[in-house]
Amino acid sequence: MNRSFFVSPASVGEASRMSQENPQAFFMAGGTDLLVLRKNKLIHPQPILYLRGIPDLAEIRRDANGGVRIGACATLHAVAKHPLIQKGYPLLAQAALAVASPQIRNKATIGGNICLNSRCWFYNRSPFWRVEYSECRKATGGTRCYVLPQSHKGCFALQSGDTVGPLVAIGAKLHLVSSRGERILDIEDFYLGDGIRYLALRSGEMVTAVLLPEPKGRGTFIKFRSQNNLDFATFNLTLFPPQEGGGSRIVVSSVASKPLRALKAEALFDQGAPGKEVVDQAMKEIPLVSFVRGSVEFKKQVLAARMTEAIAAAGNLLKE
Amino acid sequence: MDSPRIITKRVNRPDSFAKVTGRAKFTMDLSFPGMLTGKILRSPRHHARILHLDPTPALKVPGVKAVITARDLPPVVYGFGDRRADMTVFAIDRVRYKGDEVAAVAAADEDAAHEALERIRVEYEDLPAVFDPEAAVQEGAPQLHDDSPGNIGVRIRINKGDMDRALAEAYLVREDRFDTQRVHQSYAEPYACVADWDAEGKITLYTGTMNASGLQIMLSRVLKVPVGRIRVIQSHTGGSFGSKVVLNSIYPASAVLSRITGRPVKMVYTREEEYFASRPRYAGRYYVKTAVKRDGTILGRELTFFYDAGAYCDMAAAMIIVCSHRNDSVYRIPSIRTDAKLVYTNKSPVGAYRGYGNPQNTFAFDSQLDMIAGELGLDPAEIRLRNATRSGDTTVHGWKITSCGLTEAIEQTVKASGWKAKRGKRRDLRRGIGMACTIHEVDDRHSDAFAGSNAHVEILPDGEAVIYSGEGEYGQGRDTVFCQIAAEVLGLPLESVRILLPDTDITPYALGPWGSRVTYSGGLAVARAAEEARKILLQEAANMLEANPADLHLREGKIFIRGIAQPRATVAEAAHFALFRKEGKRIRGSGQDEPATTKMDPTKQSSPCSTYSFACQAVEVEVNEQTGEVKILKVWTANDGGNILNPIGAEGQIEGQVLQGIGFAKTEEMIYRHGHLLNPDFMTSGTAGPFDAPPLDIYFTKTHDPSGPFGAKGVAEVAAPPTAAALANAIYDAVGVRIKKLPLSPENVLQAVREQGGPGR
Repeated sequence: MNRSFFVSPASVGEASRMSQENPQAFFMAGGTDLLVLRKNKLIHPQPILYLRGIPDLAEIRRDANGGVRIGACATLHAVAKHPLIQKGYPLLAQAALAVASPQIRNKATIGGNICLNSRCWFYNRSPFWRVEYSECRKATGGTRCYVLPQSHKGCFALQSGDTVGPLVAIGAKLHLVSSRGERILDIEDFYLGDGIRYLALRSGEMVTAVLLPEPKGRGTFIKFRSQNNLDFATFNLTLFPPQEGGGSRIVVSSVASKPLRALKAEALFDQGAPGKEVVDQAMKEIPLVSFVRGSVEFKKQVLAARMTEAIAAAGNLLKE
Repeated sequence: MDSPRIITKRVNRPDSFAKVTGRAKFTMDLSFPGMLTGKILRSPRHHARILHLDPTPALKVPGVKAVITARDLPPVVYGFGDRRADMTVFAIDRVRYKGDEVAAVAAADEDAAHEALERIRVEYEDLPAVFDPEAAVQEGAPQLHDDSPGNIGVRIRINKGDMDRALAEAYLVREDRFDTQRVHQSYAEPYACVADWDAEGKITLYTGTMNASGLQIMLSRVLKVPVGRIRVIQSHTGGSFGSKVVLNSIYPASAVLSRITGRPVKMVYTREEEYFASRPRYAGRYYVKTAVKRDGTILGRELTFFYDAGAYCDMAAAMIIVCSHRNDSVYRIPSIRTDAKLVYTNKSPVGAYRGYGNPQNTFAFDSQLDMIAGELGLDPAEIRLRNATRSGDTTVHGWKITSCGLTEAIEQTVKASGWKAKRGKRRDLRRGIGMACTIHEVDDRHSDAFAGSNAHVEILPDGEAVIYSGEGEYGQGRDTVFCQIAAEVLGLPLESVRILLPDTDITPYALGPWGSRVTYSGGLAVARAAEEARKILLQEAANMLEANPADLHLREGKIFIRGIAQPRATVAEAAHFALFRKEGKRIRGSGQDEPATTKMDPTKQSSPCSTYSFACQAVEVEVNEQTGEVKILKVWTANDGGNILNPIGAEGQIEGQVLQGIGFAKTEEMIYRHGHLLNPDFMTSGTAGPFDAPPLDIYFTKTHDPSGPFGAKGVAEVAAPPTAAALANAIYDAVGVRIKKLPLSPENVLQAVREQGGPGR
C-alpha cells in the first residue's frame, strides 16, 4: 500500500534530525515536484517532512552585508514580487516568473527550485510509460541511459530550476543547516554534475536560506522554450557584461546536471573581445546533449544566436 | 418580428455563476453511497496475442470487489453508430495498441484498484507492429484486422467532373505532399463516468458526454440491454471539442462492474490515459495535385490521402466520409478525383476534434494555393477571391450554397489587416502575412433515418419556462442560445428561462453535436417548441381575459392587449390559470427539426447539409531565422456564421478556435518513437495556453441564412481550420521558406531554413 506519513516539524533542528533518522525521508515545501515524483513511483518518501510549519523560513530581508537573505520556503511568487528582489536582482525576479504558471508559483519555493530533482524525458514519467524504458539508471537502478545510449555509466538528468542560472551569475551562497551544525556554500559548489547524485547535501542537511551579495549591474536572462509557455527550459542563459574590465558572467543552465559557466569566454568578455569571439569560445565550453525535443544542432544554433543578441544588448546597456 | 430583445444581444451564460464559484457538479464531483473506484488494465504492448489472462489474483487485494475481462460481457463487435464494426469493449485474444483495454477492476479506493491491476496476470506474445500509414498498406505489412487486407478500414474514391482533361488543359499543375501530426483536444476534464446498475436491471450512467441520446443507443447495443433500461445523464462537462461522442470502454466496463458488485462504480481517466487511450486528432498525409489556368482559376484537384486511424476505426469511419471531400467546396473546383484511405496502425484510435479534419485539409490545400499563386505571380487574396464559392452556387459535389459570406470575409480580412501594404513587402524585416479560407458543414446528414432535433418547452405556473433538449452543453454555449431563443419567442426575460442538461429519461432524442448543428437544428426545434407553447399560452390567456388571442402579445413576462399600454396580466397568472382550472392544461410545446437534406455520400451528388459556414483568416508574423522562433504579431478572422445570436459566445468560440489553431500549427505534437508515445501530458505535448494567445481581431460577416433560426448558422468549427495554413503562408512571406509539415516549431522552421538556403534570403 502506497502511503506516506506526513509530519510537520516545528523547527529546523527537528526536521534535520528526523531526516537523518529516516533515510527514506524527504523534505517538502510546496510539493509541486515531490508529489508528482511520488505519484509516478519514482520516490517513496517515508515520512514526508513538511517544512512550511517552521517559522521564519520564508522571510525575505536585507542582511548585514548589504545583500539580501531569502528564506528557502519563500514562494517563487513572493520572490518575484518583492521590492528588494525587483530592484536589486531583477534577473532573479524574471527567472522566478518564468517558472510554470501562476498557480504553481504560488506554491513552489525558491529552496525547492534550487534543490529540484534533476529531470529527464525518460525519468519523469509514470510506471505505465516507463515499461518500455525500464532500464533507466536513475529510475530503476538499471544499466542503461536512453539519452546517451553509448554511455556505460553516469546519468545525464538535467538541473532544471530556472532560478539557478541567475543565482550562479549573481554569486549567491546557500545557508545549509543540519542538527550537527551549519555551513555556507557557494551555489556553484552545490551541484555535483551527476544526474543521480546531483546535490552536495549531507545527511539530514537542508537549505534554509539563499544569500545574495550586493547587487551587480544589469544583465540578461533568457529562458528558451520550444513549445508552449508552461514547459521547462530547453536552455537558460544568464549574462552579465563586465564592469570596469571584470566580473562578467556567462551561465548556461538547464542543459546539464549542473549549471555551467563559460569561464574562458568570460575572460575574453572581460578583456573586451568582440562578441563573436566570446560566443564561439562559450559554445566550446558548453557541452550539449540531444533530447527528444532539442537536438544538439538545434540547441547550439539557438543558444549561440541568443547569446550573440544578449551580448549586443548588454553592450547597449553599458552605454546607457 | 419586432427588433430582437435578447437574441443578438450580449448576455451571460446561464451556468457561469455555478461554474466560476465551483458549485457546478462535474462527473468527478459525484459521490454515491457505497460507490467503488474502477480502473482499466491497459496493454503495454503495441501489437500482441493474449496467450493467457488470469484476473483472479486481483481479487485477493483487500478492498477489491470485482474484476472483469471480455468474458464478462456479451461478445459484441461494434463500431461508431452503424459504422464499421471492429472493436470490443475489452480485447479478446489480441491487443492492437499500447493502451488497449484488457480488463477492469472495482475497488474501495484508488490505491487498491492500482494494486489489483498489478496483480492481473497477462501473458502476451508480441506480433510485429506497424506505425506509419503508408508502410501499413504495403504488401507484407503486419495485418491488424483479418477482414481488412492492406490495413485499409475504409476507402473512398471520388471522381467528379473530368480530372484528366483539367490536367491536360492546365497552364500550371502543382504536386505537393503535406503532413500533419496527431494532437489532443486538451479539454480540461478527462473522460469520467459513474455507472449504477440497479436491482431492477436499470443502468444509470452519469458522464460528461456530448451525445447522451447516441450513447444510450450504443450502450444498449454493446451490453445487449434494452434502450429503455438505460438512462444517460449528462453532468456539467469540462470541454470536449468533439471527443466525447464515442462509446468509451469505461462506460460499459463500469456498468458491468456495478452489476456484479451491486454498487455504483466511478471511473476517471488520468491525464496520461487521455493521451494513450482516448481519441485525439488524426495525423494526415496529403498528396495534392492541383490544375489551374493562367489567371489562377482552379480547374481541378486530385488528392491521395492517408488517414492514420490507429488500431480501430471508431468515429474515424464516419469522419473520413466528411473530410475526404468537404474542403472541395470552399472554392469553385469543377473536377475532383480523390483516393482516401483510412489506414490501421498500431496506435490508439482517433476521433473528432473541432473541425473534423478541416484543419488538416485546409493546411494542405491552402498552403498549396499560395504556392500556386506564387508561381503565377498572383496575390494570394486575389486568387482566393477569384475562386471563392458564392451564394447560389452548386458545388462540385452538388452542395447547394444558400448563403455565403466568403467573399465579404476575404475582403474584410484584406482591409482590416492592411494586407496590401504588408504582403510581399517586408522580407527585410523578416515580417510576413498569410491567409487561408475554409468552409464548414452545418448540420450534415449521415443516414436516411431521423437526423434532427427534438425539444419541448414548458411554461411553469410561476411564469418561468423550462427547455428540454437532447442536445448537449459542453461549454459551447447551447444553454445560452437556446434560452435566448425561447425567451425571445415567449417574450420572457432571459433569467426566467432555464434548461436541463440532457437526461435520456426526460429530454427528447437529439442527433448530437455534428457539423456545428446545435444552434441551427437544435435552435430550430427549440424555437418551434417555444412557438407552440406560446400559442397555447395565448389561447389560455385569451380565455382568462375573455379576449381574442390574435389581439394579445407578450413582453417581459407580461401579457398585453393590442392598443392598451398597460399589461393586462402576467404570464405567471395565465400559466397558473391554465394549469389549475377545471380540466387544466399544461403549457407545453413540442418542436422538431428534421433537415431537408440527403444522405452525405462523397461519391455521388448530394445535398447533405442544411447550410454552410465560411471563414477567412490572416496571420502576421515575425520570424527569427537564427532561432526558428515565429512570433505571431496578430490574427484577423472574418467568419460567416449567419446571424450571430450570442455575440459573446460566438467571440469566445473564435478566440478558443484560434488558440487551438495556433497549438495545432505551431506548438503541439504527440510524438511517437517506434510507436511509443513520448509526451503524454499538457506540458510536453505543447498545449497552447493563455500566454500563447496573440492579439486577435474578430469580424462576423453580415450574412443571414434563409433557413437557420433567426438567420443563424454555426461558428463552432470555422475559425480553427485556417490558422495553420495562414501561418505557413505568413512564414513564407516573411523569409521565403515553405514548410509542408506541422508543427511549425522552432526546430522544424530552422531545419527548413537550413534546407532551403539559409538565413539572409
